[in-house]
Amino acid sequence: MKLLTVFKPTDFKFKFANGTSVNAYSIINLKPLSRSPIYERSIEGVDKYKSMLILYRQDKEKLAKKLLEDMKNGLYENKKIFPGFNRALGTNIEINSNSFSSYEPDKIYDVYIQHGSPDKVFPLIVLPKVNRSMYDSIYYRTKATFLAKDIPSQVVTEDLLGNDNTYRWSLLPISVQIFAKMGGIPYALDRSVIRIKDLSSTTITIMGLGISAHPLNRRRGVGFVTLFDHEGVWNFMDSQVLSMDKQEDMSEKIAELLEGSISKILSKNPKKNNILIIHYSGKEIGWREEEAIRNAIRNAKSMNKFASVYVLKIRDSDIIIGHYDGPHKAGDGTITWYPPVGATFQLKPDVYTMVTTGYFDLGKDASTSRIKANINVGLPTTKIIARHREVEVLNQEFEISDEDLLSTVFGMCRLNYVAIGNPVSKEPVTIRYSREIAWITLRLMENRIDVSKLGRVSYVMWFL
Amino acid sequence: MYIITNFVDVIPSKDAIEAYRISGKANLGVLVGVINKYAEGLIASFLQSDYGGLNAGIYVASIKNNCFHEEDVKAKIKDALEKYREERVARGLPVDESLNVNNIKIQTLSISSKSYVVTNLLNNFLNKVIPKELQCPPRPNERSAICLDIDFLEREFWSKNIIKRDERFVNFCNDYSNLCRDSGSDCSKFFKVVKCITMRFQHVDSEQEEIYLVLRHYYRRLSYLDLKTVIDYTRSKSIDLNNLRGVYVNYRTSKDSTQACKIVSINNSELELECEGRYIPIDISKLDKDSITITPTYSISREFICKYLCKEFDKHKDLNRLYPSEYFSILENDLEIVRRIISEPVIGGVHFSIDRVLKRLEARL
Repeated sequence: MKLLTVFKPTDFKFKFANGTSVNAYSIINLKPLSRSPIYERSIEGVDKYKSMLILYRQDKEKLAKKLLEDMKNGLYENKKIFPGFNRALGTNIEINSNSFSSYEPDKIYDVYIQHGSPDKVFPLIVLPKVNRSMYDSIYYRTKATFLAKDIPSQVVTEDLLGNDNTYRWSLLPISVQIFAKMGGIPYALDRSVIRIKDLSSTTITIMGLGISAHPLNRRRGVGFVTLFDHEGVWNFMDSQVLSMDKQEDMSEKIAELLEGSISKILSKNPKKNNILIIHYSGKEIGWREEEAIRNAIRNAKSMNKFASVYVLKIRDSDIIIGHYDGPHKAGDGTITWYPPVGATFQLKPDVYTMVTTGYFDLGKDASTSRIKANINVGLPTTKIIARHREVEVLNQEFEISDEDLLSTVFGMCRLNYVAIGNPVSKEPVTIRYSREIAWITLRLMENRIDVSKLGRVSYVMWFL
Repeated sequence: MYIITNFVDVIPSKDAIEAYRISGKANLGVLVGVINKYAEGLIASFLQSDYGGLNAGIYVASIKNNCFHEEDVKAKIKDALEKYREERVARGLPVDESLNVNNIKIQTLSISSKSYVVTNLLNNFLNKVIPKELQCPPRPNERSAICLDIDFLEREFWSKNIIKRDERFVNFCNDYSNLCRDSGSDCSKFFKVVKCITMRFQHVDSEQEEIYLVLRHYYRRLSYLDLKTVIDYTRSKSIDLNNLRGVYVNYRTSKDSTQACKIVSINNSELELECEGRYIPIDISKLDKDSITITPTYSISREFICKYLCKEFDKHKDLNRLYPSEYFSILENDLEIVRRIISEPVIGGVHFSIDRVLKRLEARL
């Protein structure tokens, strides 16, 4: 086991409309990168929306009014923390609120639809806190009801609105998520995740690929793809319902999913050398599902239309790394031994482990102490990243080093529109939302709605 | 500056082990499981494709101090296949007809004792060598895990001064005795907090080939939430059975599979489950032990447990909130437990000794 490199958050700055920063909070000063999808010009972005409607149950009016005021005018106690939705993101959106009578998705939707065209009004829904592991929860049911009509939505919990400590810091992340769901690109990386000499004639696409099982019916599942460019700019997603007990069927459906995505990628960049880097998730799946994924990659006919294809499997690891007498200290002065985020070790050829929670140093951009951690207490987490050359399409002209391939994982861990205060997420954005995508796809499919046939939601990050 | 890991050096007594490669027309994916389950004195690992200079096939080696020739190995595999066949027939399950000793070829060879195949043999050996009574109920992604309660640790290790006491665990069990010991109280009927140590061997080939034992410990709550027991308890405390409505359970559909179902109605004599849209009536008086168990994963189930069975059932989570600086010292202390339980594995005539310290690496971070 040897140290390969330490990827640093400061080497992966964010790009905004008016400049760059290591800190996502800079969006307030530097403004979002784009108000519309960069890769799908036919989809109108944030500007299509005239208003945002806060929907809440009648008896939660006090909480909803607080949210309404703060979204409109900024956080009452400190406008530097959150100056209001429009001021933070440079938009011009009216913000209103309305109540519904009970926590029933159809009733919530009815209230929403009475207050304007779904094309122009974005729903921000206040719901009780539920365990995200509950497939039948009001959270998933409500999200699915809106999505079935091609409407992405944002949910905030009553618990969050009632807790001043977390509430004040969540207003900006909520706004950033809404902005992304409206079709905007809040920010991306200020560099390519890999170093390619001639980027003008090369297009690099990073694809997340995974399978997730139905929580209550293990014979059903979902295969999904998420697509980003080399700077982490969102492109599109697609998903397919699978019969988990039939390995061949799984392979075929995933191959179909890949074929569809590949033809979309290639049609947009017909003359360029196209490089595809696949991150596939080894989470929650057994060897049969894994074999199905690898067979699908191997058998997808259009795969050889790429100049090269690289395949990385990413899964949770039980390896724990401690930085003996490292520089990070807890609030009480205890030396924690947290390792630096981004520390990457080689276990064997093509197999690496990367620290994704630990300490980091944001340098002079950090407001107080330089050394912070993206974990409060508990053990640091690592991922195992294994390169699967046996299913890759290799081309010497477009050879990418292992270190560069690993940097695609770290770069995608940097991209986070939900917990924007966390400079590095445990998982890359390519595979982070497997459960949300799978469960909503399954729920829609139970109502005979195919997510891939919905016009808008394929091109916005509705699953955040 | 150095880093500390949860790896432990594994040092073989010789450079190569004596092994046997099995190839042929038999279904090798099934055969490997048959050898590991039924063949005495042998351990096997299936290499699906050529790797590390070795051809695909099943690799078999003797365990402990056994020494076998090719014909002995063949005879043992033949015996194992007969046992497999008998068991399948007795259970009314189909038998894979390719599994015949005449369909396999055996070749003797010696392989590097630090190779990937040997790592897998060591991992399969763990399942054979860990006493059943210490094995934890399996969890996804855990190869082998031992669950040790505080009384066992005290009796077998701490009181004999083999290792230092785990003060963190001791203090917890002093505060929440009902969660750690069989006190007969409400919580102890349904839960026990134990120390869980997971282990697996890892092959590493960054500068040179090495095998490490990867250890991890955490404090885990074992749940005994058999629905029949819960119903009896609920009745004995005069709690309304309707409180069980909405609670999720694991419903055993066969020996090897369960289904997540929701209790939709219940009275003194029967209950109804909703399983993937199907409704299943159950006669409570005919409920077998462990055929239906409550799953604490779901929030409604957790609310029921917290309100009616054991308010403090989640307290063990606090035990796992510690920094690596404290964690590694506890883990290094516990290493001796693992060394004693798995002793010194002997595979293919080679002794694999396990170091007494966690692996440290010089690294410029």
